[in-house]
Amino acid sequence: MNTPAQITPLMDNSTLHRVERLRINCTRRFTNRSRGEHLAGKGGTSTEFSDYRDYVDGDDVRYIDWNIFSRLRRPYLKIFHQEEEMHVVILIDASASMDFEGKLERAKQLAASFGIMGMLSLERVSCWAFNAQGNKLQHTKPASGRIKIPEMLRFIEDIKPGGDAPVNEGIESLLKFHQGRGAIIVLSDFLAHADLSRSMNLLYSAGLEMMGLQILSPTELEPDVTGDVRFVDCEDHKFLDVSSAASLMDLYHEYLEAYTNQLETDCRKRGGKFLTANSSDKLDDVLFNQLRRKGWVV
Amino acid sequence: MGGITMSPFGFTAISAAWLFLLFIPLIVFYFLKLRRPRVEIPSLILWQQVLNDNRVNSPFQKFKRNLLLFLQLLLLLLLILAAMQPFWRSGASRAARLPILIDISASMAALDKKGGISRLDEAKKRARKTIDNMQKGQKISIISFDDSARKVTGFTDNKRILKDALEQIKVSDVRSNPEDALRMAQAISSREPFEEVLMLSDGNFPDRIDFELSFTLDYERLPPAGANIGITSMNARRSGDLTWDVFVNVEGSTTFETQGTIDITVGTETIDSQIIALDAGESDRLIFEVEGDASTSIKARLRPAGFDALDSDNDAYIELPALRPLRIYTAKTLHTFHKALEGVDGVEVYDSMTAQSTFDLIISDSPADVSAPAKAGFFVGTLPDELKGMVTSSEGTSDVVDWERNDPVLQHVNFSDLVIQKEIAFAEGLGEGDLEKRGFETLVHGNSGPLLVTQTSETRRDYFLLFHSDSSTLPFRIGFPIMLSNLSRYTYNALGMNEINAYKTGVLPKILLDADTNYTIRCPDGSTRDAASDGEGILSGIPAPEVGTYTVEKDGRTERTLSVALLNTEESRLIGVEKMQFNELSVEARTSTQKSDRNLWPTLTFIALILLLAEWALFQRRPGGWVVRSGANT
Repeated sequence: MNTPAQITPLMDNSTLHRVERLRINCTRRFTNRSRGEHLAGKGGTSTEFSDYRDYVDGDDVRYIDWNIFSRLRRPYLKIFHQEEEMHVVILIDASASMDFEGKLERAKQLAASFGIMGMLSLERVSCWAFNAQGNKLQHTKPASGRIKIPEMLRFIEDIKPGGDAPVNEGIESLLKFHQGRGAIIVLSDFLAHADLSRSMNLLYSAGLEMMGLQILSPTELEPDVTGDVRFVDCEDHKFLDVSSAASLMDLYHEYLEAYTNQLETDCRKRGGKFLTANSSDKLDDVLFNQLRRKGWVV
Repeated sequence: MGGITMSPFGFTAISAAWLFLLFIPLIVFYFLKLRRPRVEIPSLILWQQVLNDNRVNSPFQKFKRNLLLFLQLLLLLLLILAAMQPFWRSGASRAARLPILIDISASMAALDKKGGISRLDEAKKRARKTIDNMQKGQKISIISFDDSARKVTGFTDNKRILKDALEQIKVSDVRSNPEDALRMAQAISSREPFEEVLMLSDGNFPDRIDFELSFTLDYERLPPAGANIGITSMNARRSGDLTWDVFVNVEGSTTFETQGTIDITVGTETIDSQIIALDAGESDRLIFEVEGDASTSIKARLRPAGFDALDSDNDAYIELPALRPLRIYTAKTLHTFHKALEGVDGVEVYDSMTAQSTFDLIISDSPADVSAPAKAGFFVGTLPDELKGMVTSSEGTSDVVDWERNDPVLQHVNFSDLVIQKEIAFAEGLGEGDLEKRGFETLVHGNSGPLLVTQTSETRRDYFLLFHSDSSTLPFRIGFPIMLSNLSRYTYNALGMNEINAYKTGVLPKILLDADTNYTIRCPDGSTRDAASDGEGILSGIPAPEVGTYTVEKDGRTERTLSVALLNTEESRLIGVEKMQFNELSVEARTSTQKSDRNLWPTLTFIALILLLAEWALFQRRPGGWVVRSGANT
């Protein structure tokens, strides 16, 4: 018996199969009018019954429940769940800062996972990646359905690291080209000097629910440095001399926590989600444990 | 005019101060060559926030940033100071040569407490400290002493030699007397002058020293030992015809109550045991009765109850000869002597040379009997061959001018108004000094010459009455029978049948053996030494530094055994002399440790080493992490 070929080098087939059974759980429901599998809050045209309401003039008489009418002699209208199409935008930060300790690899794995979830839920999924400032964003056209998954995977696999584009610039560049409401999943380390609240406001205005997934490496979370060192920014190559680095670790942790807390607060204020993941954690643990517990996927 | 104030510090090698110039290249290189390890990180944003924090920019944090420089400067400073060999002035004079006299007498083995250290260990510790604090140019010599002195090392500045020599020193079970050590130090000072001598002792020695101090003596008395009880004397006295009374004196520490049990063992049989309890400073005398019909070896063993600081004073030995009547020969012509001696207890008087094979005492007026073997002789009207021509006897009279009242034979004897019908005179130009050169001592001085002389050898003592008793009123004097009684008692003593003292450590008593023969002495610790007897068969001068039994062997066969014990009050009572009284001055004991300049370079070097390790731990670890990797866990 032949072993099935690996579908993508980003993750093994078993993980892929488990991902196929998950769906993205958006808090708000920015959806497109076109019909899809994503349930809208208002009554729709799916076959799944939702509720009754009084008939008013102008309602489509096809939705009157005639059985109730025959018993009560009053018309009641059946309301069905409206399954609307949601646009899922996946934005991958491929700048040089992500090329540390498997951060970009983890971002690509998660992007592929979210993409698969979205496509199999018949959402319109588009993948975007940015790296250097001024470069045009690479992206896939919004697509849905199993048939489009390989194309999306190839795109993700081919993302190369490098460049100095900050995440806020990536978001704003995306908004220049993207149309459609739904959710945006930003996979980045969010280590930018700029104020990200402006970018989040723009996303909210554009009808995209911000789902920020911050990917940090183990040594960003728990740096192991001592003595006098010169830190060099891998993107702009600016440096910073630090003495007695070991004695500053408490402050570092304090600022890291404050920074991530600020990002999370900004996301929540705009109805979004934020989660920090360690690039050294197992992919299965992130997908099936951390994201599930935090309500990102169901 | 102000006086010169001496700094508490000094430097032995001040020339090493030029090393301070090394600060210049150190500072220059620090700023020029400071090369921080480059660590590439994803973003500086967090670290910039950290560095902008007020807490990081506090003065202390700024100091910490240059901590490496400060540590390196401090490290260099410590090393340079160590190279300059600083020392802390104690205020004591820095003698160029310092002899250290270390007491190794028996009491130096005393412990301060159960499982504690001995006085000698304490002395060694203090001597080592003095050696460690030797300054450049100083030399130390070590002399150990008990009742005699030994030079352990000459003057040297080699600390290893001094410390090795110190380790070789061990306690001997002998009493202490620093006189010999002081004389040795004085002899050394004539070749290698010094001004001060350090003496480390527990002070258990006589407080009066017959010595003229020609240098400053620094007498450092060691802390006192703990409680001790010991045997300080053991002797035996004849109490009847065939009985000995054995006396054992036990003394305890002056500051502790002590108790124990004394066991008296004859051969292998314990004949008596007595319990002793002594108050502080008290002594007790125990008396045991022993049959004297045969020669006996007696051992007294003290078993202390509780802690006993000193073990070596718990044993004592005594050898008792068999008791018998004194055998005296008196010439028939000396009837008055015969009659007078018959009234003395414990003597058998014979007037025939053949009545006994040997006599203990010979009383004769015949020059031929002078050579007869005996322990003592009293020859009447006989001029020894050695004095012929030096003393003349002629018609006339002699008067007694003076006599030696302390001589054992002349005690309680009065020669005043003794009438002598002979003129005994020195030959012309001679005097008592000439007699002494021939080995004679004048006991009764006449107006013209000696009337009674004595000659003493290793084996016997002879008295020569230079006039005949028949030509004097001596037999009619009250002192006559007293003199003969004294003579018999003296002979008894000389034979060891009247009073016996236990032998003490130090030197073995003279032993009469075969003449000109080699012997092997086996010591209590199993070691042996060779010795030879002299022409008279006397074996003498054998050191006995340990308590126990010494065996004299000849060709593997035991000839004699002698047991010695400490038996010294000062050593057992552990009284530390507060003040040593010399002929012209006294020296107070000092109980504190000797002040000496203290070398600081070992401390500085140690601190520098710790600093180096701390610097290494803080700064020389390479930063970890931050490695660019492409793979991720799946």
